[in-house]
Amino acid sequence: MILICDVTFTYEGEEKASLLHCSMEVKRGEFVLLCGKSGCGKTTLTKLINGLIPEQIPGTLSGSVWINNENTADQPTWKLSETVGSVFQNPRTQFFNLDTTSEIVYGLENKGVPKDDIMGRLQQVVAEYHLHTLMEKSVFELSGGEKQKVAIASAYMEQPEIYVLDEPSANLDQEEILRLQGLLKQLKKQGKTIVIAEHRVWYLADLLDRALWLEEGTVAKEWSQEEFKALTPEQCREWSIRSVDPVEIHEERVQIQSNEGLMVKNLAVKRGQRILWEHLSFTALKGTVVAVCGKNGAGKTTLVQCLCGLRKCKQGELYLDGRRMNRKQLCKSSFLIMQDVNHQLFSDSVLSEVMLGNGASEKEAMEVLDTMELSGFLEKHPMALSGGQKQRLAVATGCLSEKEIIIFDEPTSGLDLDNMKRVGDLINMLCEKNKIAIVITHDLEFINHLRASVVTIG
Amino acid sequence: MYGKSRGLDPRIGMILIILSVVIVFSHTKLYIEWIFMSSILFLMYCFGVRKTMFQILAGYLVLCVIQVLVIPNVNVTLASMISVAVYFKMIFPCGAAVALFCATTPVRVLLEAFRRMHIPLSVSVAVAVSARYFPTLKDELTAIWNAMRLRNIKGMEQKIESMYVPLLMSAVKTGEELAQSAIVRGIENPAPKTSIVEIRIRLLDVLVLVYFLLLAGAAIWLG
Repeated sequence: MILICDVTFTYEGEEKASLLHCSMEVKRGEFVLLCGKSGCGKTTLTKLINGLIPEQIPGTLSGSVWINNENTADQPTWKLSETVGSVFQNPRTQFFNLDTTSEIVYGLENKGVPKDDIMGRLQQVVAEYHLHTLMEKSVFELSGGEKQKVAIASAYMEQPEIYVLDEPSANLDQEEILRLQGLLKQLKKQGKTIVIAEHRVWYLADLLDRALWLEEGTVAKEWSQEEFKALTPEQCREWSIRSVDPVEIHEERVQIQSNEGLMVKNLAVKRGQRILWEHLSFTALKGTVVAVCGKNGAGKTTLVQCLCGLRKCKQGELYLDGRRMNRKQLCKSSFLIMQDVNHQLFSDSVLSEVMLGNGASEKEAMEVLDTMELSGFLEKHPMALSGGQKQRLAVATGCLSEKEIIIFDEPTSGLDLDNMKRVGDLINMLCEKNKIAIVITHDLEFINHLRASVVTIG
Repeated sequence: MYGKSRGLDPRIGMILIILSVVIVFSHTKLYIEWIFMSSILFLMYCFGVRKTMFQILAGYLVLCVIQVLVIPNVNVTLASMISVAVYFKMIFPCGAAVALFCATTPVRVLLEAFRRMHIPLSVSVAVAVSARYFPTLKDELTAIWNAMRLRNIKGMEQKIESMYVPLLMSAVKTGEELAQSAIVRGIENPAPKTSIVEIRIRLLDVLVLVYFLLLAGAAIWLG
């Protein structure tokens, strides 16, 4: 079905090859998981299969890719898209259309399928996927999980033989991951060929036929389902694989009564006409981590905006060290590491970035950069840093502005085990500095790693 | 059930935008502009674009009051100062026509209209990706703006200067990813495309077109 022969691919403008003499074969009806550390070439491999490489993404390619015994180099991407359905990682740019119905029928319309046939197929897919409530909606109203569901339904509409998914769970909560698992199970049962690149692997353990572990752009290890499920936590650590078993939160409840920290009392928030949540109360002590969980669309990001004073609450009070805080004061004492950290880097060098907007001296700046392992990149442009480095740079700017509350919005989406631990260490370091760390996440493995106390909203 | 058209034919929508420009720049009688405005707003109301309609209406009314009641009754210096409002008011008819068009035309219907007008695919894909990018832009601007507030970046000049690096980065990335999403869904497929939203010029479209053409004619003739 899919045959990749000795492929080497280097993205334009990069020196290191993303794929290096990579070969693999996927048989019809097989369910294959691609795993490996961030940057190992998983995503590149998925783009090779759906034909975006080499037609749309510039770079140098050698070797060949065969789908259904046809060389992909000889077919345009649109032709390939009739056989290969793709689901991408970023739900924000996953959709080309602005409403869900348009998006779902889009592929068939492009093929020129008659209207009545499209409508028939649409009815069928809507019923099978229980999409009734999601139809005719703006894609901006959907939660991450809903978007992923619509994305899979859109691919499913065209009934391709092969499905390629790139980290579909990156923005999903536990419940929605289980729903995604259900959808994948259904596809597998129908005998579809599925290739999925993923970090969070527990929900795939029962589905996969083979797991391939990539390193430095090539398949370095292969497991059968039995072998994969039998991986011990030590082995997982060795391969930097996230938990193979389903994850549950092990919360350690420590009750300390103290005024030192952030106290949230009876908070309620409205979005549009809808009350997202009310009666939310919790305390985040200095030097501890609080993890905020909640379903997709429960209003986690809205809570963050309230805590940072960027948004008005409908009711409720916030106290820092026993003092009642208004929005302006909150804005001064809290800092947010955004999910897309690119939004918060403004300067043209690392050093000027950390000194922007605060009165810090160069000495202080150097000290903080040193602890963040960034002192070697002083003159580098922030946008030229890697994802993890950018995140640390943003934390450094927060530390230097002497903010007491540091909030992380989904800091681990799309990270492998090693990198997840690295973010965990970073947060623990902030705790040692007596900061209040609040982490918005639905990564249960990460919560366990942090030993955070958990607040659930929604 | 799904895919019912909720607006005018996109081609008529585009013509309306052009006519709105003609009417505004013919500097015609105020009442023609009023008729035009109320007709567009009426269409917006009928097609269910009510919130935007009321916002535009409110803004327009305020500016009309300034033009008709305030400016003739204050001294010359003040009048010349606030006459800026009159120029500002000129963008409202065009704005309303654009708002009507955007709210009732899904991206792919626009693409389909382009195809029927024999506009090359490379042009129409570029237009569609940009049209699709703007709503994302709003989210990104908010995020960047929030980030600046937390970083204590003050002053308009510094804010705008700080804005463009993150914005440019995300624009490039978003544009690329959107184009890729469209491509793997077969946007380049040469087969004649179908659409579950029927676009065809109906009686309503013809009536609307004739009405607005007459109005534009009147504007030029009387202007």
